[in-house]
Amino acid sequence: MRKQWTLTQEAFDKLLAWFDSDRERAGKKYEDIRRNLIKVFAWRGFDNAEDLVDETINRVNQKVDELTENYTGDPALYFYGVAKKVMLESGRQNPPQSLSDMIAAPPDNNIGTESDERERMCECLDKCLAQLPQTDRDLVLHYYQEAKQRKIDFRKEMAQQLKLTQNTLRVKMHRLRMRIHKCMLLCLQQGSDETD
Amino acid sequence: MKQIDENCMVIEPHLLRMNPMNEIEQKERLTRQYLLGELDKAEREQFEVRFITDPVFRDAVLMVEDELIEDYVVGRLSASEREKFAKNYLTTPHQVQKLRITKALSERADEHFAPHSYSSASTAQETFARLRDFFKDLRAWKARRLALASLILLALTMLFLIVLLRRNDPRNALYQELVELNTQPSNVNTSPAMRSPMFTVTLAPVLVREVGEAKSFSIPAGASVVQLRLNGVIGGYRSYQAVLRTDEGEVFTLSGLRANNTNDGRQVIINVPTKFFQRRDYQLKLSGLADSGQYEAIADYTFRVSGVT
Repeated sequence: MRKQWTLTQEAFDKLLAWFDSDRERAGKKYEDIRRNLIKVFAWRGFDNAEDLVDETINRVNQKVDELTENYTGDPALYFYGVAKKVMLESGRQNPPQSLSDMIAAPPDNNIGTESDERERMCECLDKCLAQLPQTDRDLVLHYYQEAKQRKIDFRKEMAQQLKLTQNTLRVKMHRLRMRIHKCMLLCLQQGSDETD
Repeated sequence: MKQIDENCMVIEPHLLRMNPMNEIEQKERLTRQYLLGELDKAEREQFEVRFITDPVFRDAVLMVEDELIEDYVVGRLSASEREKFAKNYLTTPHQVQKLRITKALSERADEHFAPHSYSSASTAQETFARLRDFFKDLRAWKARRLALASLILLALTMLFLIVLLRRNDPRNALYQELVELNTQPSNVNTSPAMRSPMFTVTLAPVLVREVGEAKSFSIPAGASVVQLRLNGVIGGYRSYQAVLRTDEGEVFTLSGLRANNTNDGRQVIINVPTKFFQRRDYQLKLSGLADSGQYEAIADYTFRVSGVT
């Protein structure tokens, strides 16, 4: 399915010009579209989401002259239309059943690997949590501990105990999670590169 | 223009605009439905269009996505939601990785506060005190920055979320039923719940280095309660605690259990609504509350539910 990535600097410049006359704003728009489409492809079950988004951008790029002249409206919508076609052509990547199973039950012959992965995960978690200020680290650990107590409205109770609004707690936790996830992915990737 | 809330956190303008109740409710419900694969084709595309064109919606969706993963990890989704989540969300290695990270965080929290439960743990209390002090300091610094209107909106949001969370969680009633089933005097079946058709299983503890298959059973049709009779119970504890788990996380924790002398020796008896079980493997850990106030591990039990008819 994947075709060769052919976005040249010139083509990229044209694409940005279509988005916005301000290059900085256009660059941000491009990044937003790309990032959002990757999420959509992943939610639709495509594990090669980035490749398919590149393919989508490539196809739009081939029509950029025409679009600049004739298309009115949010470019993101046009990208989405093309993305749908790409999805249709690719077909949903039926995930192997083991994708969810493997979280809990690794095959016997992978026990060693799984154990290494867990160890690596723990190391990275230590590292990423250590990068947080003490108060944030406490908040994250406490939040997950509370979540396990099976209280339906634990977020509300926790916010009350911390004298925060519930919305503030949710937003703060969301930001902390994003920070930890980003750090973890980087750390795990580094570990994987070292192993390769 | 960005605002600062009463805790000195910068709040993006669009997050403040999220406050009208029906809007938040709609976004949360829609996002969960999308991620669980409950929307039809047209609704799904409508959702995706909004996701890629509306940054406010996008941020809200990503927050709800995180919370859904969290709910899955800590077992706060219903059985059917769990199934849909596994089928529709755990479909790419990246999303599985995201789940693993959340799971690791949750386990780390357990380790951090072990061996006490949160409610009695001095570590947890110290943590809470530290967090409270931290936010108190921040409030003192910027306490009156938020306009009254924003406070009212935030309070309304909180109220709405309380209602939403209570209404949407079907486990609440089930868990209450579990507690009720296990707070009756063990051998006196007086409550309506205890008169329900019951299927009884006796479990022997797993011995160290024991090799062999776990006990397997199928829950017969009509049985609304499964009674687990745990053998190998050591006496001398104030009470007992049972934690039921699957490989994916905790199913429930029951404290304050009593041991009974039966024809099969000393047993701890747990009555579990059948709805808690699916076809899968379970591990049950029994601990005793010692005079020191700490739980001591007594025995582990494993079993497989091969069918729920």
